[in-house]
Amino acid sequence: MKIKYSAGDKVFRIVCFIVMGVFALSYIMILLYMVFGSFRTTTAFSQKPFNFFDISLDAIKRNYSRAFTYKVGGHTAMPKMILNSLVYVVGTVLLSVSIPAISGYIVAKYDFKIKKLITSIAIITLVVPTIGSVTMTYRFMDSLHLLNTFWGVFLMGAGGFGFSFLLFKNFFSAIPWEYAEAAYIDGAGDFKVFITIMFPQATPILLSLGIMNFIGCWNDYYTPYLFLNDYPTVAYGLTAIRSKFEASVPIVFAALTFSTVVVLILYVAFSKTIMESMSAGGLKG
Amino acid sequence: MNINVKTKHNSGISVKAKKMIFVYGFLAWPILHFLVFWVGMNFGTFVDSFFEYSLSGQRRFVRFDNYVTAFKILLGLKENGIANHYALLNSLSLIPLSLFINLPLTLIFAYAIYKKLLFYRFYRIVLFLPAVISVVVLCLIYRMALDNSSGIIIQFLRLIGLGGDGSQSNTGIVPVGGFLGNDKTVWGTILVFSVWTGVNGNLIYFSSAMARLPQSVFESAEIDGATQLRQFGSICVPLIWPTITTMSVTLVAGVFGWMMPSLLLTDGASERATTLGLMITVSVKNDSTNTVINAIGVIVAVFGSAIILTFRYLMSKITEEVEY
Repeated sequence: MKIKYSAGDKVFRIVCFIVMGVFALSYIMILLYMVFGSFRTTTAFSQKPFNFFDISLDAIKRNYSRAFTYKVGGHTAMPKMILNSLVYVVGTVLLSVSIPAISGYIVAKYDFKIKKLITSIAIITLVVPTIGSVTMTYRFMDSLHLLNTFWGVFLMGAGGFGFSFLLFKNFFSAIPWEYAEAAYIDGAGDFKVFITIMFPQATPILLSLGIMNFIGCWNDYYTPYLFLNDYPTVAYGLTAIRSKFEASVPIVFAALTFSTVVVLILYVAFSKTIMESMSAGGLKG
Repeated sequence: MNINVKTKHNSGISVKAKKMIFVYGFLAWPILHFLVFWVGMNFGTFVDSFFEYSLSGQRRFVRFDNYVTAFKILLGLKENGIANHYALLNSLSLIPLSLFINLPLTLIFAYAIYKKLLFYRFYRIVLFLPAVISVVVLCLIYRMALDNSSGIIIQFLRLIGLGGDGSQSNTGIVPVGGFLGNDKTVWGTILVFSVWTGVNGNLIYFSSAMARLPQSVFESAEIDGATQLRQFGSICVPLIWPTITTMSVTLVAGVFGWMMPSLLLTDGASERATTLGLMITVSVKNDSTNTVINAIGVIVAVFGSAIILTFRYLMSKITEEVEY
């Protein structure tokens, strides 16, 4: 059925369409600028800035090989940075999703004395700006000899409260309890109920939070910048590559393109899952 | 439905004890982590703010000296590089930007997508891209696009006659040193970047909140002749107000640690583009025993919390939460 819009609605929709179009086009254009820029020679890029399609196979080979072989800090080239990123991402994502999942489940489904306190703690961690404590955290990790180690960043990221906790708490609150009650009657324990009945129902939100956290960790600059200097990740290494090849923008664009393609593939592949599962979780604080 | 560990499953103490072991056993680690990395680190920051460290690592009690220095820095009475009064001013300027530009734009974009604007599927995916692409990538592209010699934006301005001829005497609308290299324009240029990349972060949460709204309410409003804009203001916004409140609070809380664009667009070197987050982070890198930074951290936590909690209280008073 065709919807008839009032004059006011038409204006509203046209204005939205144009403004959103400007934003959307700007994002697509910078991506194309980056990708096609990485296919050009440095000379062509600087002398003919608007000749975007002046690309060559030699330039592609040269730009990407330079971006992949340059050693950040004199010791870590792109393949090692990819490995560092993967170690950092996999460890952090596993911990930062699984721990809030179980703490969110417990608070959503069980009554116990400190239940309200824990919900308050989760909100407090989001509300109080604790940027100042980074100095103490830095020195604490240093004193434990965990500075510049993956174990150190895993430990810091293994908290059970925060944004993911609230998402899981809201998600599990909305899940019916009948199956669990049937399982209890059949003699199942609390952990078995969680693992076999409740956890599988959370697969979509686990998957989408996992992907969002994967993307967040892959892109994270702050943690490697402060706590993982000796193991540069791809995101951290990009700034070093830019500093080295400041006059050869296509080489920098090659590194940026590679870093972006990884997350874009993940996002495009799972965007529907992410959108749908977030709808199931919801967020109130 | 919740389980009441005291009354359900009445097969004796062992069941209750097992539940307690399950509850507290699995909460033990998150609680310990919170106590160490949140309570411990913040308490340590507070305690250390009353001390200073000598080069040999000796700790000396200095009473409120660090706070006096911290207030002098924040108020512009004593400045040292990026530790200056612009840190506070710039950080606070991000609050109205987030609340009155980024957030409303995101909300309207989410609503337009919800109302199935032409190409809404395309917009839903593309407008979320800045939240997916690394801030490092976005910053570096933005920075290179604004580069005074080869940047595409500067080249374009020169092409249309607005960028001068590239000489120091004729720069057109491009300031001397470029947009990011000039003290007068650097913060404004960073704010433009912040709007450009910041209108989308919460799109997914607003979209999901709207997806859960009862369609029948909108249909009734349409039958009564309400325009889409009216439905937005009278139905959509009040119904998703809890989500708007939560996202607003996280935005306001986020400004106190906001630093990445300042760090990456200026290498953390511009005194005019400093923020509280940048000042603290760079200080940690340079000298983690500088306890004046601890004092600044405590001031930020106390005043920041007061601002955020007041804001949250005001937001909760604007409209009643509606169950649907």
